[in-house]
This record gives sequence, structure tokens and C-alpha cells, in this order.
Amino acid sequence: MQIFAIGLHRNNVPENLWYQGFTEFQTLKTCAEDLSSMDIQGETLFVNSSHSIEVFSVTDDETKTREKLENFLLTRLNLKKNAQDIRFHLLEGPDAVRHFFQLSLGLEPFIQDPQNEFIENASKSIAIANECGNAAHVLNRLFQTALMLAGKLEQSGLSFDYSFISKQIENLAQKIFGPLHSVDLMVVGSNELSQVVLKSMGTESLRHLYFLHRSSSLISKLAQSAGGQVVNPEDVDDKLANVQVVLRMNQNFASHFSAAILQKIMSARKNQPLLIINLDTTVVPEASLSKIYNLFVYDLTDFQQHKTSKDGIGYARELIENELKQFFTWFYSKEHYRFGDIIGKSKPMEHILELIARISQTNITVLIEGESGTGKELVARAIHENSPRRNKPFIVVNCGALPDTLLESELFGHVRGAFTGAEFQKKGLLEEADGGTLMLDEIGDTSPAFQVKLLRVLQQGEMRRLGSNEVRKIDVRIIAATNKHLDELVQKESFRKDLYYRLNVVQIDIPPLRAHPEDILLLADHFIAKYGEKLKKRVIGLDKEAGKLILNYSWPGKVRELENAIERSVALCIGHTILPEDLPPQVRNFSNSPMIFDDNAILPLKELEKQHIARALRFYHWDYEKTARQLGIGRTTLWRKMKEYGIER
Amino acid sequence: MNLAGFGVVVLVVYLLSEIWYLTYFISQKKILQYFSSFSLSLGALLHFIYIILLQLDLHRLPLGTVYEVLVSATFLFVLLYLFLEFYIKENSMGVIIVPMILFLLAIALPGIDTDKTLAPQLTGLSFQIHVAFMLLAYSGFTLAFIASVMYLLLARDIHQKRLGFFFSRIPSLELLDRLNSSAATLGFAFATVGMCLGFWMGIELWGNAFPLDAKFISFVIIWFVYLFHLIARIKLGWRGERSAWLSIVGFFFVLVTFLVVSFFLTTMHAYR
Repeated sequence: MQIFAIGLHRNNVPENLWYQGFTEFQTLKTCAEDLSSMDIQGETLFVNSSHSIEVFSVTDDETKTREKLENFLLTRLNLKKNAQDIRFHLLEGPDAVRHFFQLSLGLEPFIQDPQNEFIENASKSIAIANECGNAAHVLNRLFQTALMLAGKLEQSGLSFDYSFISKQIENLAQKIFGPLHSVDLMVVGSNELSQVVLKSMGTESLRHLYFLHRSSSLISKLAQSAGGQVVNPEDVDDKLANVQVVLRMNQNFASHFSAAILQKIMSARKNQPLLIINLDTTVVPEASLSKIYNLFVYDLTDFQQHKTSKDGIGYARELIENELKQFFTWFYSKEHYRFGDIIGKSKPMEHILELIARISQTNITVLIEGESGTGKELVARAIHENSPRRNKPFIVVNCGALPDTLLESELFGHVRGAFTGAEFQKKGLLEEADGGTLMLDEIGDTSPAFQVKLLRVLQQGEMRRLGSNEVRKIDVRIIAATNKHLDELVQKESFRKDLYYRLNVVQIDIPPLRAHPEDILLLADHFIAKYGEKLKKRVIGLDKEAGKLILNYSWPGKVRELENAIERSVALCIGHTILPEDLPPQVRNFSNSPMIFDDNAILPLKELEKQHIARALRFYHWDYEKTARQLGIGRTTLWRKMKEYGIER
Repeated sequence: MNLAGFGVVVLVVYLLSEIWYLTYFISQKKILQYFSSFSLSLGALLHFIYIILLQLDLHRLPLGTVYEVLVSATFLFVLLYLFLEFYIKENSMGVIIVPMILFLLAIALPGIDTDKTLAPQLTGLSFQIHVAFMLLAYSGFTLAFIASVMYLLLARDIHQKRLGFFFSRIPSLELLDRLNSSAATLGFAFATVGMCLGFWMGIELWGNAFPLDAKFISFVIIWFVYLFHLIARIKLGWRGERSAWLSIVGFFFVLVTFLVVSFFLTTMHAYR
């Protein structure tokens, strides 16, 4: 999964073709609809600002999507005919996200008060993208983060000051060429930055200031205000051979700045040093230029704001970098790692997901402990799927289900005649799983004799088929799982200590549902979607009351029970939401069954009282009179208790 | 006051001025610039008085031995540098130059011997002019070397976009390049005259039996290096870094000639 941004900057489109009609709501909508009709796998978001149009995209297949999006942008601007003249800018991964944040904060493209414009456009776009189903959680989070950043910056009350760029250009020119009054400077093209930079630079102290542009009429105003002369485009070679500093504002005359041409220019200058400063935000500088003798090449990103400065840019950049780190931690942990059906936002589940992500790259033996039905196999599978072994087999053996001897022949295989009934030679599962992962479920149920053999496999990485003397080397990652506490078994000496330590390199404890109730509704939603699809029913979610019941229930059968309950409910459900009637009776009537019999938890008396009162109220259909009488308390006491426990109809 | 003790005073004043130059280079406080210039000027004044005293003692110009030449050469060099410092109003080069002066002076001062009698040809006017021109040439080459080192340091920083320590302390590339070029050219001119003078003296003295001498040969190499320096700049456009490297190569030969050859190898330049 990768995130990237592709776009067109105004500088890279012929002036007369730049299409202005993007701010309209209706246009945004058609854009989003076009995007959703293009059958792109993943998320897309179209945003426009006064200087560029961009599509941010999250997808698995970047090259294909890129092609489609380039086409889309060209069609949008009616540029199909001129496609070869157009240069897209492409930013990938952190660069793309940084780009989005910088645009949102107005750090790019350097306009005086731009932040509201971009973020406003983006908020319109994201709303439409959500409506059309183009955007999902990644781009939504991206936008939310940008919004939060903009808010933070606004609160700080800091403003942007770009004069540091001018100061550093001045310094640089002075350090190379001496005092400014001996320096000729030429500005090529123009962009948002032109005005800002030239204003705070001491242009009047320069010997000459030239302006060069494809169309001289556009630049004359700027030239006038800065006190420079407009250069005839035909004199570009002559000027390049004589000036000392060149500021490139856009890609005008780009062919004059290729390495080969610059080499010629430098020899025409008799190696007089030349400083080229690239202030075009949309291009990456050519690395080979720096090898040309006496040519100094600088890029916008080389001008760093001084750390101690009180101005907002440094602060904003810091904010962005912090957010960027967090965003990608989240992005990679959720997207890059495929966690299959493991669902969970609670602390213990997050911890498990993090652990899986960390250990999956290694070959470490893992021990998974958890009650049955908590999803041990899902965890093992996730480890396998994220490991380099993902293309090799993943085999699960339930050690508790087979008698010892059978288990051995299953695992190790046998040769012909190894025992009665062994009529053919057979490969064991350990060999089948060679190069892959073998999950040994219910490892606590195995006999000590089997454990010795397993230990040998783990320690030496080799095995023998039953009845054979031939030792085979195998490369299998072992994941053991158990619903018992192995350390207790070790103390009782029914489990070998050495094997325990060998298996228990990393231990993952999967908590039962009641330990992380905040995940219950999440899981329920997940199963509703899963079975809705499977049973071809459009079920949106749980009814409020049904949700309460599900949260109340203690789920002794763990996730598996929840899954079954939801499957049943989806099947029974008539409308679009699951009502309390659709739930299995044990869930529906849970509070009706006496709590004392729940052997999974001991409840405090108050809780018991609360549930009992609630149950009694439901039983008598909220008739306070009858309820109070039956409970043997006064009506006022009932009222008081209802208020105290927050029992409402 | 005895002469050796006065020599130590000169050394100490130079050492103090180096401390000022160093603190200025690091802290870049304007006021330290004046302190450093002043203390170096004071050192030069004391140095001058030392040379006068030495001359009174010797009853001739102090150019008769290697040590005397060094004492005079360093004075000349300090004077040249002070002039430059005043001219370009830039003190940062002192941080390299003053230690070199200290080093050379520290070698020279213990070797001063006022009782030594000299061979008659070492006191002649043409000999003294020859030595003086050579000293001026050496000074020029040294200055070109220092400008070149600074040029390379600054150019490297600018290329690598680290606008830090050297960037804020070294004068502009343009100035350093000009300084390198003019100092090398001037040194080359003095060297040409001084060498011709020496050659003429040699023919006067030995006639056709002019012996080939290690110092003479190595100086001819230096002469060719700086000749190339001059031609490459004009004809090949070798300015900036390449020119700086040539100055550094040239100065390497100067060091070899002046220190190694003078002290260990030469026959007729041994001041005997």
C-alpha cells in the first residue's frame, strides 16, 4: 500500500491553457464522479488550489493508477492535445503527505495568505469524495490531521516570513562574488515566490537586475516594481554568459539549464563562477549539475530557516514532521501489515498487533496463549502472512485432537512398513511446511515422549521419518498455541521445562473479550459486514438496544460465540438493523439469568443489584408499583436506586 | 637589554595576538578585530626594533645566515599581511598566518649568532638584493597559499550547502581568488628578478664552472609551477579551485626548498 500525490502546477502548463473553473462545487463533484467511475483500486482525492491541481491517492498498484490519474488530469484541463508539453509532479510516501500538510498550512506554494484557501477547497473535496465513496479512512485521517495542524498553527499566532530566503540568497551571492554592487542577477520566469523574495532582497544595491520570461508582457509589471529590466528572450545566451546569479522561478527556458548546455555556457564564461538558484517548488534539481566546474547550484530546500527564529515556518515544519511520523506509524501498522480478520482498537489488542508486526520479520518461535475461541489461529496466520515466508505453506496441526502415535506419523511422516498399516511412504507435515510456518495448536495436550521429539526438531532443525534412519534438514517456523497455562503444566511436570523455554521465546497472550469490551461493538460491526455480504443482506448495524445487550453479555464463548450470534442475527434480521429480537436468546435474556451462576466473573453486590433491578423493571414492563412490591422495597427507594445506578427506560 | 631576551618578548606579543585572532575567528565579535590588528602591529613594531638592534650589533643588514634571513623574512611578511588586512578590512586570515610567523621565528631566533664572521661575498650589495627579492617572492607565494586554502574551505562549504562555520568567517570567493592570483603573480615577478640576479652573481663568482645546486634546481621547478599558474589562468580559464590547487602545489615546493634543501642538501646556498 502506498500513498502518493500527482498533480499539475500552473508553471508547467502553457499559460493560455490553464483552466480556472475548478473552484465551483459542481465541477468538484463531476471530478469526484469521474474518479469513482475510473475503477481505481484504493482511495483518491482531487484537490485544487489557485496554483495547482492534484490528486492524492492510496493504492496498491501505483503505476497503473498513476497512468489513469495523469489521463484524468489532462482531460480535466483539456490538455490532451498538448500532452507531451506537460510535466506532472509526482510525490510519493512521506513526501506526498508532507506536501498535503504544507499546502494546508500555506507553507507551499508560498502565497501570502493561502492557508484558508487550500484547506477550504480540501474540505469541500473530501466531503464530496466521501459521498462518492472515493475516500476512505486513510485520506480522511490525512485531512483531519491537516485540519488539526492548521488549527494549532492558528492558535500559536505565528506568521510566515519568507525574507530568510532573500537574506540567504544575498549572503550566498556576497560570499561567492563579493559585494552586491558587482553582481548581476537574472530572474527567469515567475511564480508565487517572485514578489516575496524580490521585495525583501536589496535589489537596488545590485549592479543589474534582469527579468526573463516567455511572455514579456506578464513580467514587465514585476520588473517595474523591482527596478529591473526585461530581457528579450532572444538574448538569453548572451545574458547567461555574463550574469553572476540566476533565479529560476519556473521551468521557462528549461532547455538552457541542462547539464550539457550549462557546460557550454561555463566555457563561454571562461569559468567565471555562476550561481543558479532554483526556486521552483515543483521540480527536483538535477544532481549532475553540481559536477560542473565553478557552477554553484542551490535549491529552495537548501535555504533553511534559522532554528532560533521566532517565525512560524520553523514551528510549522516541526509540527508537520511530528505529525508525519505519527501518520506513518499509523499508516504502516494498519495498512502495510495485513492483519487479516484481527479486529481491535483497545490497548491490549493494539499491543498484540504491534507485537505481530515486530516479530513477523524474524524466525523466532512464538507461543500464543489464550482461551479457546479468542482467535489464536488468526494471530498465527497474521504472523505468517507478514513474514518473508508468506508465499510458503502455513499448516495448522491440532495436537489435542490426535492420539500420540498418530500425531507423530502425521508430523514426521513414515516410510513403507514402519508400522502395521504403513503401506506407503508418507511425507510428514513438518516436511510439507518446509520453508513455511507450522502452527501446533493445543501443545499443552501432548505427551512428554512427543515433546522430546519436538524439542529435537526445534533445536537441531532436523527430523527423521518414522522407521527411517535418514536425517532431513528442515526450515520451519514453529508457532505453538495453547489454552492452558504452560508454566503451571511445567510445575506439575506434565510439560517439559526445556521445551517450554524453547517455545516461549516470545509469548503473545490473547485476552478474552471481557478484558477489552471496547472491541465488542467493533467486532460485531465487522461480523455484520462479513455475514451481510455472505448472506446477501444489506444490514447496516445494530439497533441501540441490541448494542446494549451485546455489551452486557459476558461472552463465555469468546469471539467465536459473538461471531455465531451475529451470523444468526443477520440471518434472522428483517430490516436494515439488528433488533434485540434477532439476537440469540441467551444474549437477549442474559440479564434474566442469575448472575451468580456466571462462573467467569464475580460481580460486586452493587452491580448485581443494578442488574437485578433493571431486570425486574423490564419483567414488569416498567411498572414501578409492581416492581417495587415484588422487590420488597418502597417506591421512593426504587426511584432513588434507579437514579443512583442510572437505570433508564 | 640583551638581544635574545628581546626576541622572546617579540614571540610573546605575537602569541598574544594569535589568541586575539583565534577568539575573533570563533566569536566574530567586531571589537576583537581591533584588538587583534593592534596586537599584531605592536608585534611588528617590536620585531622591527629587534632587527635594528640586530643590525647595530652586526654592523650590516641581517641577511647573512639562514636564521637572519628568516627573521627578516617574517618581518617583511607581517608587514605585507598588515597592509593587506588594512586594505581589505578582513581579519580572518590572521588565524593561519600568525602561527606560521610564530613557527618560523621560533626556528630562527635561537640560531642568531652576532659573533660569527661571514665570507666576504655574503655581505655584498647584490647578494643582499638577491636575498631580499627571494624573500618577497616567498612571501607572495605564502600569501597565495593561504588565500587558496581558505578558498577551498569556503568553496567546499558552499558546494555542500553547509553555510556554517567557515561560511560566516572567510571573505568572499571572488576576493580570495583575486588575492591568490595577484599574490602568486607578484611572487613570480620577484622570483624571476631574484633568480636572474643570483644567476648573474654565480657567473661572476664561478664563471663557466657554475656548479649545479639542489636549491637552484628546486627553485627552477617552483618558477615553472607559478609560470603555469599564470598561463593556465589566462589561457585555460583555470580560476577558482584549480588555481587554488596550483598555489598549494607551488607552496609545497617552496616549503621543501626553503626548509629541507636550505638546511640539509645545498652547498653554495649554505651561507658558508
